[in-house]
Amino acid sequence: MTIFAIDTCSLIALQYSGYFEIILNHVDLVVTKKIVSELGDISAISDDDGIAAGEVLRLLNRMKILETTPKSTGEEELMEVASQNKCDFIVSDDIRAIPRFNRANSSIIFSTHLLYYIHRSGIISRVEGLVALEKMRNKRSWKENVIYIAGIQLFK
Amino acid sequence: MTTQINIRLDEHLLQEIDALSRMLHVPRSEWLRMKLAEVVKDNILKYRENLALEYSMGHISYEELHTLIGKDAEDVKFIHERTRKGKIEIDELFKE
Repeated sequence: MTIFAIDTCSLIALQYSGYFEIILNHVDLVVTKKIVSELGDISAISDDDGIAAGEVLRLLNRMKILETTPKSTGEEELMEVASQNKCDFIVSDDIRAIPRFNRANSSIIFSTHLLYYIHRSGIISRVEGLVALEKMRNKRSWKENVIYIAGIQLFK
Repeated sequence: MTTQINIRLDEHLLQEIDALSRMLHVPRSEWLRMKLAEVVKDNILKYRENLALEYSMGHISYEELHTLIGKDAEDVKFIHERTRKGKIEIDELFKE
């Protein structure tokens, strides 16, 4: 069984894609308590990110919440999860955090790779993948959008 | 370093440029240089996502991207390479 430990911004991005619930049906996602708390903080604000975070929280019972030493950020807790070999992949769209994740044993991928995963599993078509990327792209800042632009090559 | 270029302008447009530059007490060529630089910067900001897309599709080189968006090109390249590496890793899962 392949386990994906996922950070807050990737969860929100996948909610924007419209396939988060479907991904949960086919992929084992794990989070930490700090990530749940970050989602709670974001959902308290009634903007697009807040609504998406609220939807992710509604589906929280479909993810496993791992125990870690309490840390100040979800990123640090994910580092601990990875260093203890409790996941195969770290999913993060935070390009500033990725160099730090590199110190862990797990492979680091973007949220777009989970879309690719369900595409490879035959759950979504190439066109559905590209449309999902476009939805993710419309909601984020320009540099985050580059992640979704680069994701086009996954569906070529 | 500067390079001289020659362009032909519509007579009416040139009259407007001259009127504006006289009003602003700025030489015509200096005013044009300043406006051109503003438009180029604005367009780079406006189209940086498209530039990243062109790079991703292999239509422009890393050097061209770097000329246009500076240090941000490093992040674009990093994202592009990590996307490719992640794809290989996901593909590996389906070989098992």
